[in-house]
Amino acid sequence: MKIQKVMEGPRDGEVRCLTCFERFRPQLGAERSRCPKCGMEWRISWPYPKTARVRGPVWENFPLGTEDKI
Amino acid sequence: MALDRNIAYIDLTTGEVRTEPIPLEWRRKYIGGRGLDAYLLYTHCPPQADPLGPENALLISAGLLVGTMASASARTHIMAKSPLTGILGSANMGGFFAPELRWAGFDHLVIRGQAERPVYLYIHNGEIEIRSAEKLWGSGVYDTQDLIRRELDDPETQVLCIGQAGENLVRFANVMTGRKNAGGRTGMGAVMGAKRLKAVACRGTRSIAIRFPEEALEYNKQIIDQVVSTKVSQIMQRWGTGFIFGVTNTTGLVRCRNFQYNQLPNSEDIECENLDKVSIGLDGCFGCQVHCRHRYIIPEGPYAGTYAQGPEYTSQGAFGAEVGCRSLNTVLVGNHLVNDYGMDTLEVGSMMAWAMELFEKGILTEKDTAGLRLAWGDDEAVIELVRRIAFRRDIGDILAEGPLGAARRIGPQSLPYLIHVKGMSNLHSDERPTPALALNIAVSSRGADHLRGRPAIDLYNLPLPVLERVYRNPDGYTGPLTNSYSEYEGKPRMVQWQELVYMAVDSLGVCKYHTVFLSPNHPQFKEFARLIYLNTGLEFSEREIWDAAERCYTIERLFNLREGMTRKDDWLPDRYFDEPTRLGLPVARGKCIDREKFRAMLDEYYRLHGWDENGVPTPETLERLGIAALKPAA
Repeated sequence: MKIQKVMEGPRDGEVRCLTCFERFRPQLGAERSRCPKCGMEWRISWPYPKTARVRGPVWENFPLGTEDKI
Repeated sequence: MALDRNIAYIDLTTGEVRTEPIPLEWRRKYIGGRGLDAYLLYTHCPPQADPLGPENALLISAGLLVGTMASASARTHIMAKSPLTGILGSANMGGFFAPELRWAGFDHLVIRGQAERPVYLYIHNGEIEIRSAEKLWGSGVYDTQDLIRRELDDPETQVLCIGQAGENLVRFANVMTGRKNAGGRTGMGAVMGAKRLKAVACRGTRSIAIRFPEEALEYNKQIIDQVVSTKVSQIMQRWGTGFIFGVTNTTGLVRCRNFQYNQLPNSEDIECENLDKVSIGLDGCFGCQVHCRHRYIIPEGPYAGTYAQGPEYTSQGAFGAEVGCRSLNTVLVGNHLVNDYGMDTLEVGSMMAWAMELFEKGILTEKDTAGLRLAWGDDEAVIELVRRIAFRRDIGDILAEGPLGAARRIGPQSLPYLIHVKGMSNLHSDERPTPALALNIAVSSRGADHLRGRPAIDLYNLPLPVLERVYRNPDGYTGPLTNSYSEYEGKPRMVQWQELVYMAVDSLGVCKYHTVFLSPNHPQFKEFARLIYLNTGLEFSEREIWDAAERCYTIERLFNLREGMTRKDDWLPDRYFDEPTRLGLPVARGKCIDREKFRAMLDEYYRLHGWDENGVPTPETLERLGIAALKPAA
């Protein structure tokens, strides 16, 4: 019952950008989504059908210096 | 009733066992669990005792609410002088042992002396037997529990035990119960090993009478609602603590390659979502609705087909980021091995990463490692090193001594690369971008550690009113608070508050995931007071619980001061101040801790606790807390 509360609440499907902390709502089931405020693209996972979380960055677009490609 | 449990005083040298009731006054002052353990350790472990000698006191306890209707009331606490750090040894674990200990009639065991031959304790309905463990010696954690249950012909017996690492006196050996519940940190397993105490087996059928059962049941439903309705709990129910790695690694808050990087890029394989491939479901501890640990089968390699539980966030670091490995299988195998050998996954990962950096810099060579190449990301070398540490073989024998002991054997050139506080390695987190978290590990009463005072919600950039709701209670704090994790201002209060809320839950025997650790909306002092009253009949105000927690935390401080700790031990390795972070998001990149600001935070932290500029509790503080008889060390 309580799980439904969050999944069906006003923040249903929302995530927070880890760069600028903006809340945004990826398209349902999307594996990637871009923050509308800072433009950072994130990989998204779905622990429940309507609950999203930021899984991590899109590494190929993540700013890494040559010397830091470990 | 819930208050009629006893303390057992057990001398393994003489075989004498004595039981006494717990005075009500102690409940009011120290609550139980970790809090009362702190008082018992201070009074039963003589100053400057050898941690591996018979005079060290080993305390095993169940918190005040364990086995009651309070949700997640499953925690066992273990305390002794630490063979790793030489100061407070303290470890807290979930599972099913603590409720069984209470059902068997006991809340606290005070174990001293040293058995001549390996023994285990069998505790059942008020009786304590000392039995031979000669046939168990040499067994791992999983087998030990199975063998004892078979010997007692009782599959319901709960067993707390050590594996081979504890027998071999690895200074960061764990006490374990179940497949993965670990009394980790500070080497409590080595204390058991030194006492030749292989296990404590428990079986009890004595009920715990709840003072107001109907109201307690109803209130606990509210608590469960409060906990499981948060998003963080729901994600934990799905992927356990492994979900944290996605956040911290993305931000640049994990140690990688010891301390050279603060992020492991392209590490998708060890992300929690991949546990779905190997998990056969989740499990929980006694009385918990969250169920945060996976049960899994190792999919490939020499350990394929082995059943294990976890891994936690800590093992993603130990067998992933810290040593530069990107293989989920390595995390799963490493996690299984440390649990079966009974070793602290954090310390193992940290020691391995340190050795690898020494190898990279030529301070260790293949001559020192009996031919083992300690290369970053070498999965096989990592697993081999785990085995060598547990059995103290060649380089493993050195690393088994823990950070400072190993550095003494390798030489002073190894010291600058060591990431430790007070002789205990840090979690695989990198606190350079987060001053609050850095202060937490510097001042923790058991050495570098996140479970003593980490204000994890500082990472969430919460609105100030939310922080004020949490951190201004129950003592009416009016000082500053800030909600950016890169700030210094207001952070000492967050650390002090977290220290006391964690002391309170550890004393109640409730899991930290049921208080303000990962969510600001989880229960805290107000809810604790109600839970205590409905389950035990004891009336505590929020403020009285706060005061009891402060009293117990101060006793831990007094113990450490008595053993020689000073202000200089509340400090970080130089790398935190001198080497800026290289990776991560912009907010975490190029960061290091500012020495002067850190010093000011430390001063403020001491002031909040009522300690002087040297970190010594003032006479006024001791008087206010009613522990003036426990004098600080000269």
